[in-house]
Parts: sequence; C-alpha cells; structure tokens
Amino acid sequence: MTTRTIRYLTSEGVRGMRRHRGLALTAVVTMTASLLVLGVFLVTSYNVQQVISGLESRKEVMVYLKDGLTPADLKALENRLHMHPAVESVTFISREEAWQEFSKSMNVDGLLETVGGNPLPDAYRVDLNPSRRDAATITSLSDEIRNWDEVDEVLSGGEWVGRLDRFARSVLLFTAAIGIAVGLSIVAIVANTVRLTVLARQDLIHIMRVVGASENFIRVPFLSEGVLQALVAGLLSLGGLYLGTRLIESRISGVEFLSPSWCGGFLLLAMILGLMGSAMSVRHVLRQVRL
Amino acid sequence: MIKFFHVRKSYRGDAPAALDDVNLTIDDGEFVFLVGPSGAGKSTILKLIHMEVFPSEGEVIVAGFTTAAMNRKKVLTLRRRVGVVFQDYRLLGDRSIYENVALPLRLFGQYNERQIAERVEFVMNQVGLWHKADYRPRELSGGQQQRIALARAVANQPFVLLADEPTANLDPHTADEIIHIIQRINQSGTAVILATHKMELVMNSGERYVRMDQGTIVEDWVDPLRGVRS
Repeated sequence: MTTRTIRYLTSEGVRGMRRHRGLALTAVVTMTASLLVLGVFLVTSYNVQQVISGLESRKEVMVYLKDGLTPADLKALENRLHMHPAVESVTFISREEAWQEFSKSMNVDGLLETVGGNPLPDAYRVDLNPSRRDAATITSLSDEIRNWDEVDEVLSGGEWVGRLDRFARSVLLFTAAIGIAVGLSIVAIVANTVRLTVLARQDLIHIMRVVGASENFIRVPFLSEGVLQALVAGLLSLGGLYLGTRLIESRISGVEFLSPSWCGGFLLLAMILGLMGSAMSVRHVLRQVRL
Repeated sequence: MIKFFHVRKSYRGDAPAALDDVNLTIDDGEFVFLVGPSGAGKSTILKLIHMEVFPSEGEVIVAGFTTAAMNRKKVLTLRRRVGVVFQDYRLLGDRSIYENVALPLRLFGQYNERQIAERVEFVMNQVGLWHKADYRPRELSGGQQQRIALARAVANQPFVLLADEPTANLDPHTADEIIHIIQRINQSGTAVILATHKMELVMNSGERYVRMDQGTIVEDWVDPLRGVRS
C-alpha cells in the first residue's frame, strides 16, 4: 500500500465521520463519558502513587547509636552503611545537633536543666536509593542494622509503608477493573457505531468490490474512522480531566494531573479500543454485505 | 477473450439451473448483446465473467483467468481489468461526479493527482459531461447518471465492459444515446457485453446478439458479413 493510498484511505475515514456527523458525535460523546470515568480513577490512582512514593518515611531510616563509640567506630559503621545497595547517602547527626533541633521545635526555656542533661543519642540518617524504597527493603535493612553491636535502635516506616503500598495496589487494581469495564463498553460503542456506518455505506463497499478492491482496502476507512473517533474522545476526556484536576488543585494543593507518558498511554489505549471495536464490527458486517 | 465451456450454474441444489450447458466465445474488442426475458440467465453470464459467482459445472476463461484455478488475489486482479455498469447507476451520492469517476483510479495508488485529473477529464469528455464535474449525482438526470457510471467503468481502461440493463430505467431517446456512447467505447477497443430484455434495442443495432431463454442460448446471431459464430 503506497503512502498516497494510505492518505486517501485515512481521508475517507475523516470523510466518513463528517458524512455521518450524528452517528460520529453520539459515539464520541459516549466514549468521552466512558473515558472520563476511567480517567478519574487513573488520576486518583496516579496521585495516590505520587503521594505514597514521595513520603519522607519512605526515603529514610534513622539509626540511633549506643553511647561511647570512638570516631574510628563511627567511621567503620558509616562505611558499612554505604556498602548496602539500598543506601544512597548517610548523614551523621550528633546528639548536640539533635538536641538543638529538638529544643528549637519545643520552644521551651531551660529544657536541658529540667530533663537533667541531653538524653538524645548520636544518630545516622540513612537516605535510601529511590529505586529501593519498597516496604520489604526498608524492613530488611532496618532488621539487619538493628543487629549491629554499635546500634541501639532503628526507626523506619517499614510497616506503615507496607500498608500504604497495599492500599496503593488496591487502588490500582480497582482502577484496572474499571479500566476493563470501560474498555469493553468503548469496544461495544465503537463496534455499534461503525456497524451502522458500514451498513449506511453499502454502496461504497459494493463499488469498491466491483472495481477489485481487496477486503483490507475496504476495511481501512472504517478502521481509521473508529480510531479517529476514539482519539477525539480520548483528547476531549483528557481536556476534561485536566480542567477538573486544576479545579480540585485550587482547593486541595498537591493534586497533580497525569504525566505526559500517562497521557500518551491513555490516548494509545483509547485508540486501541477504537481499533478493536471497529475491526470486530467491520469483519462482521462485510461478511453480510455481498457483491 | 472470454470462453464458456459447457457451463452450468445452479444457485440452489433443488432449484432449476440459472444456466445450463452454455458454450460461448467472445473475442477481444467484440460487441455482444445478451438478450432475453427476465430469468433467462443474462445476469448470471455477466456475474460469471466478473467472477462474482463460479460455475457449478464447466469452465469460464476470462483474459487467461480460468474459473478452475482462481483464488481471491486473481479475482481482484481480474476485476481491475473489467468495467461494470448497472441498471441503477450506483453512483455515490456523497461526493462529486469528478470524485465518483476518480474512485477506481484512486483505489490502487498507482496514479498521482495530475494523472487522475487527466484520465477523469478524458473519460468524462467521452461521455460529454466534463462540464458537470463539480455536480452531485442527484443534480443529474437518469441518462446523465448512466453516462457518468460508464465513465467510471472505463476509467481504468478495462478490456471488457459489462453492462447489465443499462437502459432499463431510461426513455427510448436517452437509451439510444447510451447505446451510442457504449458503441463508441467499443470502437476504442474495449469489448462490450450488454445484457438487455429490450429486443428492439438489439434489432436495429447490427451488432452480434446472443438470445437466451431459461438458462440456455437459443440463438447466436452475427451480421452475415462478419460471419456466423454458432
């Protein structure tokens, strides 16, 4: 098939949409509504992922040290921490720095005298590698460090992060289930619209067959019509989602719209569904329309 | 060349055959009327040549393609070399006359816009309607629509033109005009097989005619000066 032919067949798809404006409009509006439902769940899921992956407790593990460690002990400990593949960086926080930070946050005069000296230990703040911030890694790293002789206590959000991850997975699964339901409905919508369009254009199909056009050649305009309708519906629903997200963002800060790659995936999914719907319908109808 | 060898065609096992033991030869560039009442088998002959249907028995050979060894690809190749017009014109109402005639030229991508424009202008001048290029089919009379259908059928320079009752819906004067245009197309080298039930159309033409009745050929007449075929 030459470029000229592909251009012609695609323009036939556009022409088909223009010719059956009512049908195309109904299909696009219904598909847009379905895609919007999917989009709302996608944006929710996306934001849950963003929030959970951005949590502080996911990024770091606090390692509190026993008293009386020499600078050599500290250096050796720091090196051991650095060697762990999940560790990105290690920062030493002396008990004096920790006290300063604490008393500043409490804002009470004479606190040191009241508690009878600085009770806080030296500590290391261990920042985790972004790719290793899952609950399992955080828990296993904390357990490992806790067994070291120099370490008094390790604090991490391992269990909490695990719960959040399970919650995020549930949201994602729910979104996927909605996605499948919406996907099926879009395939059905496109299939029915294209079926009506194909039936309304039996004259074109007949003439194409008379002049020796192949079945694939006859199919392409209808397939491109289905894909175009889905693309338009995808763009419209993305536009709607964008406006909706901006509106919510003005009330709840931090809510984000889908990233460009998520938007691309969303449009691609819509087009694949459009193609599936029209392919099913065209194959079925062409079998019925004989020369 | 088109040849029918002992062709029998039955659409249903229990129904009488639409064609029964038909033998027929049509040479390149020849003009042949298929004439007979409704149900005589004229349209079945055209459908067999176009390979829209295949014989139940016997063999049909069209331009080297035989019904005994056809596949989908060969059928498409054959159809691209055959022009067809129908009683009801079958023009596409959603596009201009120009686009209707250009359709078969656009389908296979072998022509650029300039070549398409030249060819469309040529065939539309042949049928005398180039000045109607921008019109829509519904703006033309029945006779004009059939002339456009003829232009579309010959746009791809077919070796044979099949015309199934092309004048059935037209008044006698317009029907004569159509026949004259088809004869002109024939004179340019395209074979023509024209099916009609109007004997009067045939009698005055001087062209070969094959008279059919109930699926069989009952007469195959050709001007004695040109030689009798069978």
